Amino acid sequence: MGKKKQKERGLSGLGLIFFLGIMLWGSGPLFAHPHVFVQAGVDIVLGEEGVEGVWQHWVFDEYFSAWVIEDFDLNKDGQFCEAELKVVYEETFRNLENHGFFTRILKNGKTLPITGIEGFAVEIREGHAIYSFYVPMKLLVGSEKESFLIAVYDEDFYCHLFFPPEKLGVKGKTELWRVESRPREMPELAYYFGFMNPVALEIHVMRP
Amino acid sequence: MKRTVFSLVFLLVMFSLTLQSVHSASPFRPGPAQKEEPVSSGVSHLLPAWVRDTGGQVMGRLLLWQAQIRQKAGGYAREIRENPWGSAFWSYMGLAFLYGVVHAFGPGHGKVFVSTYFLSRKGRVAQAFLMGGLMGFFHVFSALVLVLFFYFIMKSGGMASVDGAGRSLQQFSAAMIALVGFFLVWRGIKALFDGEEQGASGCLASSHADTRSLFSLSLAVGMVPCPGAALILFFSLSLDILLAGVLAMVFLAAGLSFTTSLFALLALFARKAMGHGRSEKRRPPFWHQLPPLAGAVCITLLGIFLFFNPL
Repeated sequence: MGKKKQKERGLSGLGLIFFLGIMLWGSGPLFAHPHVFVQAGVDIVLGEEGVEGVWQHWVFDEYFSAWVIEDFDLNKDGQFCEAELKVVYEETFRNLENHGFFTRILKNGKTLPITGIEGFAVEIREGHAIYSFYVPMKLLVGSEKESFLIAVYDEDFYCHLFFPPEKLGVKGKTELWRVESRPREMPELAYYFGFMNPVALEIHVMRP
Repeated sequence: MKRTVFSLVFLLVMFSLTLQSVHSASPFRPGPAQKEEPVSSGVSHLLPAWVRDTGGQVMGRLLLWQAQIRQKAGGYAREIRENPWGSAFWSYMGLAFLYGVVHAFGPGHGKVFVSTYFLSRKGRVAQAFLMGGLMGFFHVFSALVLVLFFYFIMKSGGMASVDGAGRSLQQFSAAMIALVGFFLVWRGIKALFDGEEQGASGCLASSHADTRSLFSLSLAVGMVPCPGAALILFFSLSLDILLAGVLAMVFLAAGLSFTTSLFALLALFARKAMGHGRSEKRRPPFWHQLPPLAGAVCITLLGIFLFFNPL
């Protein structure tokens, strides 16, 4: 009798573990999961006084790309003219303003506001649509070094952005500065019940 | 009684977790202006670190698999264009099934509903498979119909129109979910206070899964088109491999259904293991009727929440 009770208790415990597991895993966003995959690249732009902005290059998977190319490259010349580009921007990119362009820039633990983007461009390479855009920012670097973090991720999980890239690009007045970077996990920015940790790029800019 | 309380508590926990993130519309498409401040997960700090770490590792693996499967499938799709019935065709189908299985392991695809449904009422294995299967097929079928309709009949472009229709369907789906939930609540309340529905087994009918509610809930949840399926089909169309694309949707749906059914089975097992399955021989006490009612309330509230928060 005692053994039977023990067995029942064991089963109940197991059931509870399953129960909790199902609850946690099954109760995610109802209809959202990554449908789009993006390889994100980044170049920082240096000026006389420090960092002036960040160029981003998003290489979309060929499924999302097929939509962009089929629907918006109307003359099928493999390029997006100004008129086509305007439509692509309105139909597939402008709304990302509501999502901070999936970009978060932090300095000393504080998020720097992203007020807009410039230079939006789209190119097609080997069946992939590549979006490029410039995020202006002002980071003055004094005599010492300055550091900031940039993370690129979609909290809603509609798409997954592979970030950071293996190599950080540097543009502008590169001769005036020395730049170091390394990836850094950001558990404080975790999303999807803490299961997804964005990995930011920690960037240090200093005089050579 | 203790287990019933556990059931109720966990249903409520699940409900509150679910309400936190129900985004589904494509962020790329034009939508209502709403500046979103990035926020970290509200409940993550409540979870033990090992749960977060394990969940993170599983999610990382799932993401990688999905990306790899999609990349490989893309290559096979191009081969199909050159040789429609070669080995690439079956590889494409196989990967579509595999993608469905892995894709549905991630968040979404109605797992919360099948789990709630089967955790809160007694069901059979066949019913678990039926509900998982229906939900998966409805989810993909909806995307299939929309893509083909807009592409061939309306000739109004592909994903943009599908996405727009998907948003409308989402709200309709939410209303349907709420309606089904109301129906289940009504039955639950009736069963609580009225012994007339007592079945031959001695259990009240409302505490059992039944085909009508199961089908209704599956349709209500599954009618929202799967954006992933729509993108894959649209990709197939762009390569001019329509037949392979449509057949791949069948395999994809089978894959989604497999995983969703698995969650339904786990819910059945969890319920049974917690002792709810032992109440057949005698009339269940009042307490045993509460989980089905709580589950029905959760489904209703979720439907209402989704209806008023179309995203």
